[in-house]
Amino acid sequence: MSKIIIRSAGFLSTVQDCGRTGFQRFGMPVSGAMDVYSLHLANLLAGNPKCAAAIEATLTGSEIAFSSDGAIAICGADFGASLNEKPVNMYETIFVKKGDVLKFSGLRNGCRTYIAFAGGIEVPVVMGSRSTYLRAKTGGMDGRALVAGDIITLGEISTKVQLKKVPKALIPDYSTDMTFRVIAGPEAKSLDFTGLRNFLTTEYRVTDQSDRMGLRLDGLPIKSINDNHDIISAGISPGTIQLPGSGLPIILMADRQTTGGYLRIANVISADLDRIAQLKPGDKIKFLEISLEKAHELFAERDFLINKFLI
Amino acid sequence: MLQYFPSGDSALIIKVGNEISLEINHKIRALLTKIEKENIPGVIDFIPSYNELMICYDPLKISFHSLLTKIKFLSNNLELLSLAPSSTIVIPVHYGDDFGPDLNEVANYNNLSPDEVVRIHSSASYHVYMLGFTPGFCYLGGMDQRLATPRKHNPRLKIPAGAVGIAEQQTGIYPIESPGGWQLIGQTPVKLFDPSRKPVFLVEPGDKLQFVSITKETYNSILKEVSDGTYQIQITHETQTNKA
Repeated sequence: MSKIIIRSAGFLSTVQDCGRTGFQRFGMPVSGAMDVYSLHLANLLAGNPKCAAAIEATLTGSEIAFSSDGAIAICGADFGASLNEKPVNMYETIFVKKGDVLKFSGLRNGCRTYIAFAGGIEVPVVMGSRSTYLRAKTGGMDGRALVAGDIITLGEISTKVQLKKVPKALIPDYSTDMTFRVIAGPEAKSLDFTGLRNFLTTEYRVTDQSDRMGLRLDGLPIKSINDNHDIISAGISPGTIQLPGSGLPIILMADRQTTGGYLRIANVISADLDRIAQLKPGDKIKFLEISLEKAHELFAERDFLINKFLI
Repeated sequence: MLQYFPSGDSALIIKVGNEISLEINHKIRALLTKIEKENIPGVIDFIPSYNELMICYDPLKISFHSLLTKIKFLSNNLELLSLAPSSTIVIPVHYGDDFGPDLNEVANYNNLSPDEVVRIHSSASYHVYMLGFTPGFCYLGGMDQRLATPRKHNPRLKIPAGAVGIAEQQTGIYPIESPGGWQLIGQTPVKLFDPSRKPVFLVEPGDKLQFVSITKETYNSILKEVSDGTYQIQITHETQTNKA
């Protein structure tokens, strides 16, 4: 069985797949890759099913040695990947030999990169998923982030991996497009006029109080009618934008709590959520409201393109 | 009156009312049972809460409108839906001393003796309205208001799994080690959340909890049984089926 050796894990590297659904009624967060789109691409390039478990590396890459020949792919943030000190391309299949070492020189754009390995990562399946949920020490590598010295087993490869490249049109540009599309949330009507105007017309800055649970934003406070920010605790979905008493919005992400007691003013659409995962503290973003129908259209279009070019 | 609206492009909310009440919460549970039985393709998860049921779906597999049509049809005649019988789960708790460092504070605040706090806390039956906050955390209703106590001024950085506490009008159990500001009155050796056990979660929405006061010796012997995997949790099942 193939193994990889983690020589250094970087700032935060965890094992993630498409997440752990089916237990939200018990308060179990879904977790999984923050940027599911990049996870899908990396897996398809490495010859895996879209949702195989891979490494999600945050802000810095990890250093990985290979114990046998195989194939990998890197998609998402650009951390300057190299194999045996020679730069390698992201967004295409990379063939590795026994003894090769994958390194990253430093962050160039984005926030999270996904390293998929042919065969997928074979940590135990916990409650239907290999995803790591750090707060409850569940899943992944013993419920924790990767550390130097970890030896990770990969799954069997059933067929020979073919060289594949992601077409340019499918590669996101993290530096230019900073407008994120939202649809109105369950409590959107609780915003007063200036609150709604601030939310949809001014810039918000990603603060350093942002993690896998959510991104806290700073900017013009959003006023709600009668300054009421509380609701009876209720369900939260991926990309829900909560408005706590400060009037500063929070975008809820992969490790979000299943329920919350703040106004749910909007939701980032599924097609844009993966780019939210690539934001860093200091990045400035804007929101644009679209319809639910349009959101579904955009998501289906992207799925169609992935299937057309990569499956 | 039921209201339906989207939460993002991958969830649908059914809102049953605007308050916290047993009646509304029973309806949520009845709806969940009925909709889940249908095994609607594309529906991937459910989040029931006090007065809402969130249905999570895959928009590539089912459209919002097609899901909404099905859900509206299924939630017709809600008052006729029958409610699955609920279970009462017995939670053994060692109250006071190192296990409940704030028992005296709760007693003093409410002009009760520590023994009275224990007696009052362990004589009520608590309804599990919903789970959330952390895996296995139960939002309980039914605490005697004579025990209501404000949160600690300085939250603790580390509260062990199993700690039983009070915050304002609520009581609850910490299922995993976490920071928190609740007044801690006791500790249970039973695990509400254990990914290596089947079932992983001891309690589900709609269950009832009953706390029972145990000695330190009993606590230790249960703790050993829990870690050996031999502990049998006490559960009583309601025999009668209620209407939602």
